[in-house]
Amino acid sequence: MEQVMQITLVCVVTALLAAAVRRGAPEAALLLGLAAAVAALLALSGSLRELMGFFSELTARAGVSNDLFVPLYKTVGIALVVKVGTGLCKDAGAAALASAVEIAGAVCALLVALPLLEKAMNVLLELMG
Amino acid sequence: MKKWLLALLLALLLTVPVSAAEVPDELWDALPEGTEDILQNTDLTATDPLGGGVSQILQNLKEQAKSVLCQRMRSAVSILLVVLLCGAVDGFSQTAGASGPKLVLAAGALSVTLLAAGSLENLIGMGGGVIESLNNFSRVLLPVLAAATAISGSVTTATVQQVITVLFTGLLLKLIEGLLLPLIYLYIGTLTAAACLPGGRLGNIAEALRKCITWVLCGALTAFTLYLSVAHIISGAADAAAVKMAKATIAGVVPVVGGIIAEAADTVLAGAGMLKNTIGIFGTLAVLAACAWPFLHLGIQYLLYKLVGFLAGVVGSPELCKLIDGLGSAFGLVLGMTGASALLLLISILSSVAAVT
Amino acid sequence: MDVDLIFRIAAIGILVAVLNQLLVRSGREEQAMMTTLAGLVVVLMMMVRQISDLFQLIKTLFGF
Repeated sequence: MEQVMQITLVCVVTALLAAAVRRGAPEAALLLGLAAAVAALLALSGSLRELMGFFSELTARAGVSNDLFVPLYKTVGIALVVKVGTGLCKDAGAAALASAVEIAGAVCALLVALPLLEKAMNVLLELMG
Repeated sequence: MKKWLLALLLALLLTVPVSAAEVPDELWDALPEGTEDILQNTDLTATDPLGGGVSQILQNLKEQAKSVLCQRMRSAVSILLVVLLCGAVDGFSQTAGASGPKLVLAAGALSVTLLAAGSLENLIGMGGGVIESLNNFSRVLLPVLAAATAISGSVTTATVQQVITVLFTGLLLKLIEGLLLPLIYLYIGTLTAAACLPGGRLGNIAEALRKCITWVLCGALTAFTLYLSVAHIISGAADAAAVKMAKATIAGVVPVVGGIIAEAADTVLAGAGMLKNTIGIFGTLAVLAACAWPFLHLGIQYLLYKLVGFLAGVVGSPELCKLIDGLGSAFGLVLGMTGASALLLLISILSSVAAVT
Repeated sequence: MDVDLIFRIAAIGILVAVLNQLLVRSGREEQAMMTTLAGLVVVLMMMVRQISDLFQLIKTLFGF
C-alpha cells in the first residue's frame, strides 16, 4: 500500500510541475513526465521481482517446463513499455509516433509468441499423427 | 466277468471328472500378470469359488485404492496449479495492457495437455496391455475348456456357436484397438486446439467426436448382446434381486457404456449361475482380477479430472475448465472401452462353458 | 525512490523556462532556443542512467 501511495504522489506532483513549466518550456514538461515514469517503474522493481518469483515457483511445482510461460512474460514486458511510450508520445502531441510505437509493440509481441505457437503446433501434430 | 467289466468301466468314468477339476499347467503359465496371487489364494474346490474369488479381488482393490488415489492426486494438483498460474498471469497482462492474441490460454491449454498426456499414455497403455493379455489368455483357455469337456461328452452344434462368439469377440477387440483408441487421441488434440483458439467451432467438433466414439462402442456392444439373446447361447434364470442390484450399480458407476453393460449383466449373471466347471471359474476369476486394477486407476483418474474441472471453473477461465472436463471424459471413454472388452471376454468364456455343460 | 532526481530535473526545467521567457522578451530568440536545447541535453544526460537501468530491469525480469 505504501508503495502505491508513494508512486501516486510522485506522479501527481510531477504532473503539476510539468503543467507549470509547460508554458515556458514544453520540452521540459515532457522530460519531467519521462523522468517520473522511469522512476516509478524502477521503484516497482522489487514487487515485480516478487511476482515473477511466485510465477516461476508455480510452474516448477506444477512440473511444467518454463518455456511455455516465458513468451507470456515477455509479452507482458513489451506491453508495459509500449503503453508508457505511447502515452509519452501523445503527451508531446505526436500521435503518429504513438501509433508507430504501438505497431512495433504488436509485431514484437507476435514475434516473441512464435516459439509458443510452434510448440502448440508440434504437440497437436503429435497427438493427431 | 461282466460284473468285473462293468465295475472297471464305472471306475474309469468316475476318475474322469476328478481329472477335469485340475487346472493344467499351461493355463497357469498363460495367466495375465498380477492375477496369480489372487487365483492361488482362492480355493477352487470350495462350495462357492466364484463368490470367494470376487470377494478376494474386492479386498485387494480396497487395500490399493488409497495408494492409487495419492498417485493420481499429484497430476490433478499440478493441473490446478497451472490453472491458478494462468489466472494470475491473465490478470496481470490485462492490466498491463497486453492486447495481443490470447497467449495465456494457449500456454495454459498446452501445459494442461502435456501434463495429462503423460498419465494418458500410461493408462491407455495399461488398458491396452490388459486387453491383449486377456486375449492371449482366452486363446489358451478356450481350447483347454473344449478339450476338458469333450471327454465328458461332445456337443458339436454348440461348438459352432462358441466359435462364432469367439470370432465376434476378436473382431470387436480389433475395432477397439484399431479405431477407437486413435479416435480418442484425435479427440484430445481437438480439445486442446479448441482451448487455444477463441470461438466455439472447434469445441463443437470435439463434442461430435466424443459422441461418435460413444455411439460406436455402444453400438458394437448392443449388437453383441442382441446376437447372444437371439442365439440363446446363455439361458437360465438368475437371482432377480442380485441382477437388479448389479444393473443399478454398473449403470451408475461406469460412464458412457454403463447402461449397455448393465443390460448385458443380466446375461452374464445367468451364465455365472451355470458355472460348475472348475476351469470355467478359473478363467472368469482371471478375467475379473486382470481388469480390476486398470478399472481402479481409470475410475479414480476420471473422477479426479472431473473434480479438477469443476474447481478450475471456479478459479480460472472457462476454456481451460472445458478442456479439463473433456480430458476427464476421455479417461471415462477409455474406462468404458476396457469394461466393454472385459465383458466381451467374460461372455465368450461363459458361452464356451455353456456350450459344453 | 530517487525523488531528488525528479526535483532536480524540475528545477532545471523551471530555470530553463524562466531564462527562455527572459531571452525571448529581450529579443534574443536564438539564444533562447540554445538555452532550451542545452537544458534538454543536460536533463537527458542526467536521465540516461535511469533509463538504461529500467531497460535492464525489464530484460532480466521478463526473461529476455
